[in-house]
Amino acid sequence: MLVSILSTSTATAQITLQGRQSLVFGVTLPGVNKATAPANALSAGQFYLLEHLGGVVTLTFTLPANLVKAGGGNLLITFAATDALYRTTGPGATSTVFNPKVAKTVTLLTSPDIYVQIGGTIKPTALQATGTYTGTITLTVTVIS
Amino acid sequence: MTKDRGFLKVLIVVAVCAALPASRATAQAASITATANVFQPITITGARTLDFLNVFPGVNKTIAIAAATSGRFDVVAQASQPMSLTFTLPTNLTSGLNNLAIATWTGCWNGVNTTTGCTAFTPSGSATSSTVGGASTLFVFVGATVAPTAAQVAGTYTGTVTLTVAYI
Repeated sequence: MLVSILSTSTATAQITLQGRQSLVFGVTLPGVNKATAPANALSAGQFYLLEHLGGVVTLTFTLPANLVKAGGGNLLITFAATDALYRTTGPGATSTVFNPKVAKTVTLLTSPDIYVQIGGTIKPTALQATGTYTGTITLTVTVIS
Repeated sequence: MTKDRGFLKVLIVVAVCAALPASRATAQAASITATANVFQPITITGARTLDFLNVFPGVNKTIAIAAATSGRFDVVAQASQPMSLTFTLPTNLTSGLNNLAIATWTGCWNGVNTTTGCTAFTPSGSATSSTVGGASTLFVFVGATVAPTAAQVAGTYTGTVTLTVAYI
């Protein structure tokens, strides 16, 4: 019984991953592209990851190609090679930009937790129908060690 | 002897499990939402000129927002959305090299084309909040007072009032 408990805690209990904040583009007009930078504290999408100091994790995004309007209609969304970043916490915190379309391996050298942020660009057509468009961004964290 | 065997079994289990490498290859996923609101483009029309009609030297003249010759802008935008109204206002009307001072400005906005029940504000270069009506229309009325001097030169004086509207 005691052995079983110890084994469980080692494998899974040390990861905390939360979606903290939506990626918000706000008001957009037909025919006018709009970008949100990953460093934008108010509008960038944000995840929080807590693992352990010295841990190695891989960050992989699943990204939508379009935002979708209820009842039908797509709004193109793109992600550039600099549209994601992770930043450490605590004194001397740093940010590192990476490509959200490519898996990123991170070693938690200075803090056991990081924030992962993502921006993007929406590209409404000149005839884009008015309305609210939404999509889902998923971050998968794989613990390597 | 029986007790000793039981104790030995437990020790073996502990030893075997402790010797196994801890399984660290694990993954978790979390999701967030991306959202955008596509609004209809804004159109603004200068619908009616602010006209002081005849003015006499030394006599101030005010055109109230409810007057038939007050200025009016017609805005068409996304229904029920908050908007900012920002003006570029002349300090004088001009006639050649002569100036006719504008003393004060008054304003009022409404979702329908009437000053009855409208929301008063003072037009300026600082943004004023307003709200588009349910029918996607916003009407902005502008009045003012001109202050001709006693020696005001006769003539026709004109100026330009510019309204900039933006979604908030």
